[in-house]
Amino acid sequence: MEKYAKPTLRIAMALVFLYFGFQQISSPDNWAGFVPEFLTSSIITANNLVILNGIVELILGLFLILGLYTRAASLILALHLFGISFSIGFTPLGVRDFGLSFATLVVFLNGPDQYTLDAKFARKKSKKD
Amino acid sequence: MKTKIVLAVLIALFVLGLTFFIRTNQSNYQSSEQSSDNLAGQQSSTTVFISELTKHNTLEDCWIAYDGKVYDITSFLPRHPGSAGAILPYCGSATEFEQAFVAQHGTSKISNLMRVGTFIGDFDIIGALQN
Repeated sequence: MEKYAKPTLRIAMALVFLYFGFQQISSPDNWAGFVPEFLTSSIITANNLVILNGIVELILGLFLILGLYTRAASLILALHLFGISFSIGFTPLGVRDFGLSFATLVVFLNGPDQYTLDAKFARKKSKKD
Repeated sequence: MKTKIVLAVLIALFVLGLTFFIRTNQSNYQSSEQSSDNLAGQQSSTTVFISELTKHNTLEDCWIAYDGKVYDITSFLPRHPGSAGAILPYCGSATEFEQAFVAQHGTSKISNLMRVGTFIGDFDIIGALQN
């Protein structure tokens, strides 16, 4: 059972980011209210930032679910979610995101499990050597 | 190593293409809606009186008035960072909501309010005072 723990956590966290990433690119208006004011300007609107954030979360979420650059993707997403949780503050949403960011950090600490593309490429490389 | 990079680039391109497709379809849909809305707007504009506004004062149906405009913010309540409970006391109100909003957020987040709320109509405060 233990061998399924790492991939389960990795895939579960990836699905979370894929869901929210897709929501942000399909309905940026619903998320614009969460963008801190200091990040916006007349050129970079809150909507644009939400769409950009959604693109990043989708890309890194796909990396995570496939197990491609697993450590890098999970670290970036964990730090990103830390930032969001601090921005939201000590509210139910903020606490939830704080917990999720630690879960993503665990994926980083675990590294690529045996079911990732990273592991597959590593096995291929070691066979060649 | 090369394969990994190529795969990563392909994934990024796929996401960018998906985003472009979704945003393009949505803007086409919104512009066709707006043209029909504009026609409706020329024919009539909704005026909301205080008696109507105060009816919409629950978690499932929350209207507020700000600066003479009425917004339905029901769908935003669950996503409010400060929890829905912080806004609920002001559902169905105008002046009270305005004062609380400005006290909490200043005037810098007004554009956010207009983005997350659905515009209902103009708030007729004068008609209410006369009545």
